[in-house]
Amino acid sequence: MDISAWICYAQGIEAERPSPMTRAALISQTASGACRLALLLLMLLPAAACASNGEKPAPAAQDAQQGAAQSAFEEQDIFEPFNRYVFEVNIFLDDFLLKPMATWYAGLLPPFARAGVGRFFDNLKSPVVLTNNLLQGDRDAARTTLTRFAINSSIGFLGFLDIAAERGHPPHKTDFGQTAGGWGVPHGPFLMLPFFGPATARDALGIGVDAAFDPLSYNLISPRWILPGLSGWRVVNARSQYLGKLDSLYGTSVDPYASMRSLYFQSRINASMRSEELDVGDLPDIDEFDFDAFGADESDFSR
Amino acid sequence: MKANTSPSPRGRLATRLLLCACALFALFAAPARADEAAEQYVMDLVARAVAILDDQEEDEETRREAFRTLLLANVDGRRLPAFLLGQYARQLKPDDEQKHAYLHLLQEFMTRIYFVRLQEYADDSIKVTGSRARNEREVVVFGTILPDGRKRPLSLNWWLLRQEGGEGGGDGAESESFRIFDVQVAGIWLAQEVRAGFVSVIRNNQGSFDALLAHLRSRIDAQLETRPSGTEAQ
Repeated sequence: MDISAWICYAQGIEAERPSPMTRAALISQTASGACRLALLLLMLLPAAACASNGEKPAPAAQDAQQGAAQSAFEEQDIFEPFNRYVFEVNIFLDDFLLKPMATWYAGLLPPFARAGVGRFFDNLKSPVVLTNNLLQGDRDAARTTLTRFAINSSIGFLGFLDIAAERGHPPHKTDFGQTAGGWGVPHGPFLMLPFFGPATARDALGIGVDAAFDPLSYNLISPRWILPGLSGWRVVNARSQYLGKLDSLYGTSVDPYASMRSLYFQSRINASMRSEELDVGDLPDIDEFDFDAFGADESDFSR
Repeated sequence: MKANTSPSPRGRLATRLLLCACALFALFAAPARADEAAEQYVMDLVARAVAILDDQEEDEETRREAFRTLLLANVDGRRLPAFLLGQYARQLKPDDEQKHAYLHLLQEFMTRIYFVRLQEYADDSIKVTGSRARNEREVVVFGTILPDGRKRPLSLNWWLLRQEGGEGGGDGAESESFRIFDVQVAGIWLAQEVRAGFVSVIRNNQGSFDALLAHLRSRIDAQLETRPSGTEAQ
């Protein structure tokens, strides 16, 4: 995997869209009507997105050890042949639909404007974040979410500017997949959803639950095309922030599907961690690996 | 009235217990200490990499060769290639031709890809913020990278292995006593992700290493055909 892919993903989500968010959370943002097709973007979105959450729910028990959890997670890909097929379909749709639209769109708006649009949609997502904050019993995070929404919706020009972050209320994201994980719900099998991208059974459930609290899921505004239009705008805007960079994912990985699965897994593990700082105790125990049997040494490699 | 300064037997016992507790705490807390030598090693390595990638006076081939030398001298060449193969590493014997072919291709794969892609980030601000020793051999150095034009830095951590016989230190010679085992960018461990791809290719081809070698060759060829260029509009 190309390091630039991770960096660019994280750039887009943690910097331009300062709220660290999970791919599943972004999925649920756009879960609205006909525009769901565009959600195939999320298949490509980095799981790195959720790498540096500030306030995080308690980790699920199965996430405690990364190494063991990763193996278990990969073993849960019991639908791998079908998942690979869906993955290819999603790639095809991205190549021929979403990416051309995003390319055209990127020519219209400069990066800072697209970053502002991303913040506007993040602000609209506040009810979803707040609901999960409350379900997780995280009152501090809920208070921050409310404060951010109040500040950014007013003097932040509907969220286009993140004034709240400058005033000491940093962004954070969470989703129902994390909430369920905190309640002890297991991941379940790995799924590659059409249009929606990678998920576990638990996260797929979370997509639906989060959509119920997403204002863009309810087409109550007249004229009726406004909300679907906003949903489409949100997806195209997000995709436009990864143009070019995403190609490296496929150009450098020997198995993009497996890379995506690993990336998704690592992101969910990160999202479930309580602390922002890496806990070195959670790293896989490499002493269990028999390196001597492989027989390589430094001179073999640096020759 | 003058205070009695000589401790009572109960006080002496308490003092001894406190000292024992401190000693035990220090013993068990030792692996979690910061490691300044490891931090210095990473700072030096980053500075050298940026100097190579950002050198406008040398041609691309010269810079790539310098980058290759730096990269291969600083990754753990004994453990990383085996780790990337997961459980399939056991199937390769030390003198196996496939193993030598794999090591050769892996070097090319890493050099080609990272040389091209890291150039895009040579101007980004990278900071080392601390470190924590996991045990006597493993150290994680914490840092951040602030991509050009962005407001919020990303986490960037290095998982280092102290080389056998090296104690680490401040100067250049001693700083060579570490090797990189993995790098984490914004929460994603790169080697773990690469391993997922390698293992998947081998497993889905009935345990064939030739399939992995073919995939590596195709990726290297693809990079040879791709010239560094500006990415699409961001």
